[in-house]
Amino acid sequence: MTREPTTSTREETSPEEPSKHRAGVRDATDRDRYVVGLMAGTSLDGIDAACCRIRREEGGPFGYDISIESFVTVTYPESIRDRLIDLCEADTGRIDEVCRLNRSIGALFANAAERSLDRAGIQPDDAEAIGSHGQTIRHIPSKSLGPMDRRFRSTLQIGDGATIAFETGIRTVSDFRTADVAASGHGAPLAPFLDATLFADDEEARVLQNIGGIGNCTVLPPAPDRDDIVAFDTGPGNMVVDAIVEILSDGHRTYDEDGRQAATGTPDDGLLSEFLAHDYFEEAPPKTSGREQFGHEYARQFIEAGRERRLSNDDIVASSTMLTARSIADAYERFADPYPSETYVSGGGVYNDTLLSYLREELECPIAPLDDLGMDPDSKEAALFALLAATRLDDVPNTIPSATGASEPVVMGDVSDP
Amino acid sequence: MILDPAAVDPVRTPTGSVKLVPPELIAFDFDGTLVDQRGGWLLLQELFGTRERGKTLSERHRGGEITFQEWCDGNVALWAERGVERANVEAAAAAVKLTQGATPLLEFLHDSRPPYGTISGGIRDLQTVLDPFEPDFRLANELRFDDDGTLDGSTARVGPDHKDEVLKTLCADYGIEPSDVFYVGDSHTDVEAFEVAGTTVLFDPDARLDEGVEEEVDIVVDDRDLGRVTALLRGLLD
Repeated sequence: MTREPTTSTREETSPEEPSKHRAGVRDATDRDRYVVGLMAGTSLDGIDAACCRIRREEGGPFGYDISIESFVTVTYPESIRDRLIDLCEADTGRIDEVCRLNRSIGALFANAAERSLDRAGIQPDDAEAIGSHGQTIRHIPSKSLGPMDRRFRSTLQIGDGATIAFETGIRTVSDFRTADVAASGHGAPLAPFLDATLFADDEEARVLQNIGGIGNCTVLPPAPDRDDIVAFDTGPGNMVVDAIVEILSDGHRTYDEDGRQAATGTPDDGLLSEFLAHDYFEEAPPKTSGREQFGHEYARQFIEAGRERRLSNDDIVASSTMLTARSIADAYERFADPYPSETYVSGGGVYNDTLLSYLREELECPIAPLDDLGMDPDSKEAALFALLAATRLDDVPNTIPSATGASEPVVMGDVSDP
Repeated sequence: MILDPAAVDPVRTPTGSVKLVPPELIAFDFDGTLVDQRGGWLLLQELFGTRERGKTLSERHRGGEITFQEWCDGNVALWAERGVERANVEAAAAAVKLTQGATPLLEFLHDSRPPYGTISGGIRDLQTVLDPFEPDFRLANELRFDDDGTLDGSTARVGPDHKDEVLKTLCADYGIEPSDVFYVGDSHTDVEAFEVAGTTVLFDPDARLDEGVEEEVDIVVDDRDLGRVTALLRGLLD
């Protein structure tokens, strides 16, 4: 017998009002639910799967408790990865491949979900849902002219939810970002919803600061409402320091290990003032940045400006490290209201001791690694999609419009029943 | 570890059994070794329609008329004339594909202790496929762009016959000896590195390679699968 998977799409409801029409959704309050979150990043490496225990503890958008029961990473087979790379390129992406890979990737996502359940010792029958981000093959945040002279953003993730539901026998929520994009948002970032749920404090204002290539933060006031949360890219994370180290070492080093080179130099305030005058730092959130602003060319300009000031290589590396710290501190001064009482740091930057010491100097609050809040940063994004699936099934709006730029909060995710 | 060629077919050891020691640093050629396309300069010359004029530059370089830096700048000037911008080079880089078996190899090295990276006579800007694996060093020639993305020069770092000197300088920076290096390459531009590195692997030999080079290396991998190299390194590092 062949079962036909069914896909239901969101129904029109008031954003804060639960739907009365959804059948088969049990009251989720005060009971443990097992939900698998699946995430595949733009690096096309593979799929992260987190089996989460989720309990809805109270009303309100952030009244959930989450713990991670297992976390697995499944690498894409090389042939699939190569096809995905082609698909992601404007010149080589073909619609028939979208069609084929949508199914194939769905099967891989299903397999990753099953592995995470197995690792957690949870039977599929005991899992309430799977939340799958899918694999992004296009994300076009700039608006393109559409019908009726309107301009639209767009985004496309593949990894068919119906396939995941059919193969696992578990209700699957997928295709999250499109709902926020439909509400005029960027469809990103989505992590602030998890940040607010897991890490907001009733008393203290917190910032969660990720320092990857680019720095990004979520500002969480005490007991925040949806409208209180701000999330944006603070500017360079490790990207500028890495590029400068690579250029200055003629390729011998691609990063400043533990911040040792920066530690032997001295930041130059004049150089920093010059580069902190970049328009990006003054721009109000929501805002994003990337290699276009802070890549190798920016690094070369920084080096040349340092040379004009007769700085040593060590001083230039120290200055670029301080640029990251000071741009983060400046961003909090400008855009974090209230100013945080504590900052939790994640990403590769936590391994740069000099950067952390500069950050301590520049911030007027203590900093600690995100692990101190009990969350392994590697599993955070997969856990996010478990939470988004649970909130979707509860009809709780699961976006932060102040972060995505959407006109209103929406319930993201389409449901596929097995 | 004694490598018995009969036990690891299709890996060959032209000089007989080879004693392998755990390396302190692992270096790869890029073009033709970690990725399928055999030459970054050639790729851009063909893509941007400057192959014939590029050949003339190469003849002048081989004849000692121009330095390698001048050869690089000459190629860049030809591309700039054609209006090549950063976006064009990024598009070319996106088309560069990893060799079969490269992903698990690079993931393994990313999580292993010895520093690893590339020594390439090609172009650094075409190595973005390696970004997720965060190599510790990347010695290659670099294109330069101005603020608006227009191509405006190059930084020459690795000439076609200089990998021995480059490798020695790199080793001095890391405080190790070239004899502690495990080096993998595929072509005539790797011959100098083969001469100084401690353990050398000729991977899927380029057809243009001179006879006799095979006798200079410790190991030859005939099939185009970097999984063979992963297996060797796992044996040494795990």
